[in-house]
Amino acid sequence: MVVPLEYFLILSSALFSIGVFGVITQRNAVRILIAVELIINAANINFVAFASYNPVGDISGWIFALFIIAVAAGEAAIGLAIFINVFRNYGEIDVGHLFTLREV
Amino acid sequence: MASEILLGKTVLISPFIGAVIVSILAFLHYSRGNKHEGHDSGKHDTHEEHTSIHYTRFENVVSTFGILSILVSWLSMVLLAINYLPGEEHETLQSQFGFFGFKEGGTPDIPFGLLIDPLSVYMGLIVTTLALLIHIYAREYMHGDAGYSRFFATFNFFTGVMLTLVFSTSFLELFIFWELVGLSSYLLIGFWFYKPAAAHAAKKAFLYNKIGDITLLAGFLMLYRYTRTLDFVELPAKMEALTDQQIAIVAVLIFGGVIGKSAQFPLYTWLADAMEGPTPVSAILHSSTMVKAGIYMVARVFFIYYEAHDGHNVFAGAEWALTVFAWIGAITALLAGLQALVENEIKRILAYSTVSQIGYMAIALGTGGKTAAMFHLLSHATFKALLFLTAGAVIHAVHTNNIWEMGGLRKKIPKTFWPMLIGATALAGFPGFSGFWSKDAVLLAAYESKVPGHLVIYYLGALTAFITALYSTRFIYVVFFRTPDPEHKEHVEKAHDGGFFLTTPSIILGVLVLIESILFIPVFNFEHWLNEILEPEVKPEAINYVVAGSSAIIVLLGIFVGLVLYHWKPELRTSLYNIDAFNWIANEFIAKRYRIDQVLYWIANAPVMWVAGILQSIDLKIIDRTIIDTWIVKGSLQLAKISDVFDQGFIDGIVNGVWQIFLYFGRQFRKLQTGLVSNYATIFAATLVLFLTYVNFLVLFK
Amino acid sequence: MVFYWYLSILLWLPLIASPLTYMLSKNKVGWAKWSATIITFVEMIYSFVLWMLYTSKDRFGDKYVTGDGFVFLEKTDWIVVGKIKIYYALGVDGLSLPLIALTTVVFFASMISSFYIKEREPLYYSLMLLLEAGVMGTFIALDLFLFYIAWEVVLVPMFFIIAYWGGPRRKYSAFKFFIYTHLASLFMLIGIFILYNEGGGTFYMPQLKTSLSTYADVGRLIFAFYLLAIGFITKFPQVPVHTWLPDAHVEAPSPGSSVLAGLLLKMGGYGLIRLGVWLLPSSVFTDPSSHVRLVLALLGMISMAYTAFVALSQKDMKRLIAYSSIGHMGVVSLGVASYTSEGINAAIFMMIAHGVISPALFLISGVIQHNAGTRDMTVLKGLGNKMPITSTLMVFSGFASAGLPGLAGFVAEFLMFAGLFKSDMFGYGDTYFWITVVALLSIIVVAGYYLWMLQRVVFGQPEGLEVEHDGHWYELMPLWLLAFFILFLGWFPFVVLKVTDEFARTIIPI
Repeated sequence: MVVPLEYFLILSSALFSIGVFGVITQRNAVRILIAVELIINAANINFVAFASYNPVGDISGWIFALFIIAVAAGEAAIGLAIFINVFRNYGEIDVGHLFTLREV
Repeated sequence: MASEILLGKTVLISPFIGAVIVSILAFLHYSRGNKHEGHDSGKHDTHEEHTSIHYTRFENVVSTFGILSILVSWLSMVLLAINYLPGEEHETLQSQFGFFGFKEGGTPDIPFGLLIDPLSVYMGLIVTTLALLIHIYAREYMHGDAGYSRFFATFNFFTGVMLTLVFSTSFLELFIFWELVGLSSYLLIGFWFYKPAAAHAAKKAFLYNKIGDITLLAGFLMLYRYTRTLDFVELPAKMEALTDQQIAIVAVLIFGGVIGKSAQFPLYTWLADAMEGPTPVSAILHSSTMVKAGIYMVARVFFIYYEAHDGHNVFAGAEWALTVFAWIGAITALLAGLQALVENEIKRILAYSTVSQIGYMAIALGTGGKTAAMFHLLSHATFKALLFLTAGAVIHAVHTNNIWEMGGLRKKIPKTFWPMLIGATALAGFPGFSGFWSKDAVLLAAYESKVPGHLVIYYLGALTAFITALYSTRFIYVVFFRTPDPEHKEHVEKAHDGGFFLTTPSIILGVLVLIESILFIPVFNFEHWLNEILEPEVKPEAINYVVAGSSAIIVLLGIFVGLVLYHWKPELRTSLYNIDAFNWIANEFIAKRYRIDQVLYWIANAPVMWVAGILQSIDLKIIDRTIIDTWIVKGSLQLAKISDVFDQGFIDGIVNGVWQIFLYFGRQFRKLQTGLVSNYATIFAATLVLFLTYVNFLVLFK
Repeated sequence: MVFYWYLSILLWLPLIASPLTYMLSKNKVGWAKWSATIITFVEMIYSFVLWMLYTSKDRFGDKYVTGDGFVFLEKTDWIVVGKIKIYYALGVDGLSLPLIALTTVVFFASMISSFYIKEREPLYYSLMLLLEAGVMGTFIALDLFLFYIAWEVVLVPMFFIIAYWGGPRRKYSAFKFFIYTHLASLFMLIGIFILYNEGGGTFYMPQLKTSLSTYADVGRLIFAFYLLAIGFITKFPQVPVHTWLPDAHVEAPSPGSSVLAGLLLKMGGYGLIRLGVWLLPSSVFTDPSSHVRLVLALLGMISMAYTAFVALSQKDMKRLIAYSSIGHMGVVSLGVASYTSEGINAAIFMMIAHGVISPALFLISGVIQHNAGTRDMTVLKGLGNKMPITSTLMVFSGFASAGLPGLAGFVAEFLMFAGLFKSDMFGYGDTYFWITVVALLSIIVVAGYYLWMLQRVVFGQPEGLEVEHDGHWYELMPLWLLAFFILFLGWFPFVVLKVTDEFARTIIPI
């Protein structure tokens, strides 16, 4: 059975929407990070799906997906490091309380 | 030829070398740390003795070099003059170079150099001889003066300049040295510069001269305009081509120069004030040589007035100028003579007498007697230099200038008395003395001439001869014969003759006057000889016994009246002065120089200062303050203010408006920045949605 | 290969030395004056060498670069933008050569007499060197663009010299000087552009001269002449745009005044002769519809007569000398107006003569101020006894300025009057005649105020003045130098006139 492309796209859209919802609504930084990972993976699904359904057989979509995974790993590492530092300095990682860059 | 030119150059250059040597000596003397001696002494033609041996030695060295240089000049002059004795061929020599260095063609260059002809040799001989004698005199006379070296340097400089004037070959050269003798006159009158009177007199002399100089400059520049040359040798041939009007302009303007330099009416008062200078200066500059420069110049350029080939034909244009000149001479002679009659200072008497005698020469020139003028110039130069030297010796002896503070000096200073008596006799024109013969020649020229009103001029001249005899008698009598007033007896008693250098020159000059007196007797034909070398184209006048006889009588009458008034009947004088009108004329009018100075002040000095003041305030208040400050600066300021309003209201308004708008929006927009990550994320997401919707719409509704 | 940079050396030596002097003497303040003095001395000697080379140009002509009527010609492209081509062109002829020599002499004298200055020495001397380069550039530039740059460069150092080292009202005077001359030179700039336009688009003067003489329209050239003349007569200056001069002179330090009077005024005269007379075709002067000569003659006459009177009522010595400068520059105007070779020679010679006389007088007034403490002639009295050398030099220079024969000023005045009398002066009817008469009479007044000044300052007994000694060596040495030149020019005018006459002949052959 051939799964149609639309299913993958719907999945990725759902994942993306959940991710965006998470980023907007969550106040815990780790949760936001997880939501961002969801968004990234939504994009990954799209890349891989389009690459599989490509009639020419171009594999650049897969390569992009690999790059994104690597970059996402790095991003997660740096993000976590930042949060650890934030936690050390402020004792919490609630982004609702971290507004020192706010316009006074 | 060449040797004569060389001699001529020696004559001119030697005095200048003397001046330079004296200056160097003075420089060495003072740079060795010798202080100027007697700086602040405000003395008046008398001498406080600076007798430090050192200074006297310096004086001797300086004067020796000064006199030596003049001696060299005099010797060369005599050698030069030997070629111009009667019977020799008189050629005109010229040695010249272009003063301005203009190349050939186009602008005519003006020659500069040496013109040797009988006239210049004659005048040069007079100048060098007198300069030599007066230098010797000054050696002792200036003894002890703080400015001894300065005096000799300037005096030598004057001699050189005067000689160069005499030998000049073009109008430009003559004019340059004409003004330079004015400069040396200025420096020598103001010799005792710390005396305010001397400073004032020096300035006055230079300015009065300058007025004449400017007319002279205009005169010969007009000549340049018409003929394109200023060369004395080339000019005579070109004169014929000029129109009457042109000649008239040139002739009158050149006489203007003579009036300034030779102290003619109305510019003669400076000469009396010039007596503030030392006596040797008065003796050579202001009586015998410098003031004669005008007369000499007219004689030099006689071709402007009389046709060169025939000395008796007046150019029609020049006739009027000559008449005016003769009249000015006659008026000057009379006025100055009268003034000498009421003057009390001995040097001033002699100064006015000089003016009066130069008036005679002007009469002679105006009536066509070039020879007569030069003849009188010679005799007057000799006896007037003599009179000044002796007057200086008198002042030296009694330390006063006023004749009424002297008296009975005949026995005290015989070596001064006898020469002075000879000089005064010659001045008075006592029959047989040099002054008589030369004055007779002048009167004859006036009598015989064709100038309108020449007889009146002759009568005025004769009247002046009477006055001359009168004042000569007066001052000789008062100084030497009268019993001195009791209060002045003291210094008269102490009077004694000067030393060798002070008396010898006057004795030599006295002898010269006597020699001249003999030489001038018509038997020896001096005047004819002079006529022959100076203007051979003119036939000399035969002696006129009417003129000669009448002038002899007039002179004797003058001396007689003088003796009556001052010796036999002095009370007559008192009764004369008791007449109010006479008293007023004598003391208020004549003694105050006919108010000429006041008149000149009111017509020249006062308006000039008035105009100067007005222009000064115009300059400050109108041009600088009103026009520039008010109109331009204030106007610019007004313009600036208007621009300022425009600038701030409009241009700045636009600019300000723009930034205010941005500021407002900025203030609004910055509220968006909450610092909350979720807000940013929301905005980001919303924007993304909006963007994607937009893209969708674009795709869908294409 | 021929040696090429005769004039560039002259121009660049002070220009390069100016910043170097400032930098090198940062720590050793005393070096500045010696460095500047040595530079100006070298310049002076070098300009004399150039003079000698110039006078032997007929014999060794091929050794120097000559062309377009100029000697030591240097011409290279400088700025080329589209059709506009600007050359770096230098050269001298009979007009500029004497002025170059004058520049170096006056600067040397002024440098030495500046030794009394103790404030901000390095800046002062470097500005003076910059000033020398600017003046020099004005005189030798053959390209109008370069000429204008040099002309404007001069303003800056002079402004600062007045504004920093001047008297009590120095700020006012400096601004007045700057505004007047700068505004006037803008008019000149417009004139230059008209010439550029009319002359077929070149700034190179010899080329412009040729093309102007063949193509241009006289009416427009006369208009251009008036525009140029506004720039020049403000610089000389002539009445009625003269009032900046007395103020600037009075407030400037005396070496500054001497440069101002000796050289900056001459730039105006040079411009008038170079651009007005030489560059423009003679039709500007001789065309029947042109009243250029009359206007110039009237300006000159008014300046001579008017300033003679105004000077008479001055109390400050420097003001008096400043007014007399205006009068003397009137001789330049009248000489040019006569439009005879005598007149042109007189104008150039007057610039040289006045260029050595007026610095001497200004320096003397400086000496008197430093040693007697005042320049007020109502207070000064009897300096003859206290300061004999200064007084002697003052009498000397005063007479020179009053036009005594045998000194420099007379030659110029005589030639000017000879030119006026020779020119067809009655072409304007009586007007020209009266101009001459007034100019002649004003000479008497000039003599009058100088004699009066001498009588007040030198003669008499000093009262209430504390004068200890005569001037210092560095005050008197430049005066002797200038006095030498005054005397030399008075007796050997042909040294200069031979050179200037060549130039005058190229304009007016007869």
